[in-house]
Amino acid sequence: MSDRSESKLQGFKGGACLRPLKNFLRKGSILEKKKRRLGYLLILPALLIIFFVLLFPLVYALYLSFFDVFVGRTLKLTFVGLRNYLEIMVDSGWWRSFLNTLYFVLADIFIGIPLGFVSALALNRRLRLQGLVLAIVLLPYVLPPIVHALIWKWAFNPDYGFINQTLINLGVIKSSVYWLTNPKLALPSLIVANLWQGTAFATIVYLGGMKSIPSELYEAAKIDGATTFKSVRYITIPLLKPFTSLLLVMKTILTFKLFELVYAVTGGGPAGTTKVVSYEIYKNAFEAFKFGKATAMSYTLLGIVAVIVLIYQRLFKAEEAY
Amino acid sequence: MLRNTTIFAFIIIILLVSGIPIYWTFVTSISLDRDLADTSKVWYPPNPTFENYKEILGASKMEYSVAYEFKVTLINSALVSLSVTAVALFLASLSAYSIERLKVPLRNTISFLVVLTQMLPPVILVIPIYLIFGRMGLLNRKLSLVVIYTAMNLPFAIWILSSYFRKLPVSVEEAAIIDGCGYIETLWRIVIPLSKPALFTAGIFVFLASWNEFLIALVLTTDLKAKTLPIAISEFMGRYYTDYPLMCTAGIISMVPPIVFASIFQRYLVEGLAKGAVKE
Repeated sequence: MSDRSESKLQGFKGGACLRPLKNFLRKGSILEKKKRRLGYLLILPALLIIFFVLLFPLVYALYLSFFDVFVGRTLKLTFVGLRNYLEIMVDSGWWRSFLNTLYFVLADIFIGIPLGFVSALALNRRLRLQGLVLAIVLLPYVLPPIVHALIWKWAFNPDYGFINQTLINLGVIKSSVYWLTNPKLALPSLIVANLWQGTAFATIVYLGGMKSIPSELYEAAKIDGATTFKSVRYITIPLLKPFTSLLLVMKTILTFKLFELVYAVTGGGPAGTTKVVSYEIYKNAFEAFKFGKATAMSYTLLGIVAVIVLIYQRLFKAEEAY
Repeated sequence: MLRNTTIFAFIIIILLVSGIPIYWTFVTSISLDRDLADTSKVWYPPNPTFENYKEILGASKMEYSVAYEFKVTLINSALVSLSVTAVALFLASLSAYSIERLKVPLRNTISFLVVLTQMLPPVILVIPIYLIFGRMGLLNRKLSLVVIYTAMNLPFAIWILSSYFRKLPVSVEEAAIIDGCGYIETLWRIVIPLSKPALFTAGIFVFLASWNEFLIALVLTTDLKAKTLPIAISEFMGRYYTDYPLMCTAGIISMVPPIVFASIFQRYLVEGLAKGAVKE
């Protein structure tokens, strides 16, 4: 009833005049069919490209993971069932690279995310030159990964890198440290380089989140006598939970993709101490030409990442239930 | 008072940690090779020079050199990234329009593809792509890179554009259609001009993703005619004797587009990421 009177009221205004026509169009008429046909025609090129370049290769890779692949003049495939997968299970190189990747992920989660949170807290205020400050904070995150690798290879350079230079000037070390060729130091050094980028990402995400919290909440807390620490503890952290969840998932996924830093800075060395999964897969495929095994590794990796993401989701849900 | 000083000091530290590695690369790029030891002591070259930049940007075909290789691959990178951006935005506009206005029920499919493309380690994709493209004789072509990058970035571009189209008021479009405007004309004349901010955001993301991409270009291109700048940089980094200033110059040059976009659109990026997070 009220609906009808409303439409009468609006009868002479723009939108409502079209209503009969809209209804006509909606009734599965020929016009409607034509419209949808045009729609499919417009989206078709995009779908075709996505299918042939993304989805088909993914399925093809799964298929290949059950074969011994020999690349000669033509592709020679020998069916081996699950052998590639079983081989990975007992491949110490694979597990080592997996463990190394896990170190990168853990550092990102337990150092990068908290550090990003604290940085965002510090930066979330009116600053002079705010634009410039934000741009500098953003920089590590937007750089081409290969340039990220270049910067840190150069920073860790024993003779001219600024890290040794600074530590010598401060008197922390007496002579140059070989960060990237010492088997004990190479992995921690790369983890630091990766944190440089990962922390920037966390800072940006948290900063965006903090801007979305209404300032009235803090004002009210202040009136009630809450200290800054308390308002961070009871307002900022709980309200930023979705961002923390997002960061956990994103950082895990992104860090499992890590490739350039290892490829260009250490090449997995010294003595395989810095190998990560993406690099191990790349080497198996394009240096050892074991395409079958490499695709099996890819799908094992995909499975592991999916399981981790599922576990996160369970954890988030359990948290919400409280 | 003390609290403000502490926070100020902390902000300075954040800026130094973010900026110094990049600054270091920059001062190396304007140093002479023989001055490197001095540069690293005083954090500034005794004889600053932009010779390396001139060498790369002005390199000619006559004398084959690393600088020339950097120049060619720089042009390749720019061509590939610009083409991907143009093609992806064009196809994404058509797709987003068909989803939002022509009732093609694929919104969830696109969301799924966005998650898939964000999650998928590129190393999984590069193996089958290498085998397929190799068999079709499509290795070492810029066009192949354009097609692959387009496919990888399309879902995200469609997603951004369609969530923007959804918010546009439809009344103007309906009026246009009643006046005899076709759908495609409506898209071109009304929807696209109204969607400039979304096209901008999507375009920047697509451009940077193509500009920064490494693994697929590494596997698919070995010839100079198709190789991109990141590949040239990594090959140069792998040599035993390296001209460090020249290497850093190439690095700085390839940082330019990301830095420009980061400084112009930082506020937008920060907000965009926040919105994306809430949606998840």
